[in-house]
Amino acid sequence: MSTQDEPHEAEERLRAAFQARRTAATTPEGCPAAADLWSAVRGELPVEKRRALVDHTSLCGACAEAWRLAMDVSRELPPVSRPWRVSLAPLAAAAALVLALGGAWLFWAHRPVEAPGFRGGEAPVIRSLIREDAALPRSDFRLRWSPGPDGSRYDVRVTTESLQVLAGGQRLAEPSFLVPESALAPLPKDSRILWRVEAVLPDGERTASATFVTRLE
Amino acid sequence: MMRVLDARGRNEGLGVLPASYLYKVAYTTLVDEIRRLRRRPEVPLEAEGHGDGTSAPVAAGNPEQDLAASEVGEAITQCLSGLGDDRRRAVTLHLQGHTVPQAAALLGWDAKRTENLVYRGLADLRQCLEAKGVKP
Repeated sequence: MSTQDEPHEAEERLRAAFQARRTAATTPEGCPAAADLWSAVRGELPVEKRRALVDHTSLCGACAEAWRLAMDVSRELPPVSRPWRVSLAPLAAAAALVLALGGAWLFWAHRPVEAPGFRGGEAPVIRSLIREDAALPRSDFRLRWSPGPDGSRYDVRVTTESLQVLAGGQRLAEPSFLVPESALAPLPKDSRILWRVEAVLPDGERTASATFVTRLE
Repeated sequence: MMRVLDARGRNEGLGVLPASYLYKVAYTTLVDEIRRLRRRPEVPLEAEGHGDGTSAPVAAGNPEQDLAASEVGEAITQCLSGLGDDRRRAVTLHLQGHTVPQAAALLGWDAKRTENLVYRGLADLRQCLEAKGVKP
């Protein structure tokens, strides 16, 4: 680790520790409505109200998590909001997207505290190299993903749909991970396995994948 | 989803809802559900055993690591509460992952002022954590 990397890594650790807080509000007025958090993140509330909500999230880990979820979800919104005719298809799409993001958010929010946060930016996108409809055998449940630049290292975490951690690897040099057969033994056929990769790029930047789903044969 | 359908029912005369509204409803539904799950009642210790000397399986994880993380988190919260209002707000948004321009827009300040507040606030926060013997 170079000296230049140290302040950056220290800040990432601080951010990770901040984001791992689990404390809920202890203020008499309790937590703000989810709708207010959403509107604050979207900049739709008056500035004084936004500042008050930021004050709350500085002391309340639960609402800070909800704030980050609003950040993630609202990034998916198109820049210019067009009216949709309300039918089941767009409703289902919106609900599915938010639930997927929420699931991914929950999955990532419960990672070990030492795992630092990640930054998006210009980092390469990590993609699964396993076909979406493929099922892998227990004896060779090898997850593969698109590699980052030479020298990248990978942290991977594997869970069930109920977010029970099955296996994981840290600082892997290769863009693949073999889930031990013993970890999969209790699961029935056709179980859906969730997995997510975080790459540490050679310059110290981090980038995280979406949460992938692979079926157990 | 049910809330959206309710809203659709109330809004039938108009026939359309903006995408941002649908996202907001889905988001608030999800957050409310997470909050509901987290409000599960605590169970007395004696109720956790099986009556035969064994106890229910505990949640996966490392208790020492969880305790350490909890202590660090508590120290960060305490130190943040000791910062001046503006520094605390700027640092909070920075730690949440907002860029300086985003934080400036949310807090109603210009970017230069926000950047200074983040810089000074982080320095204060680190100093406070060091005084507590905490190093995240």
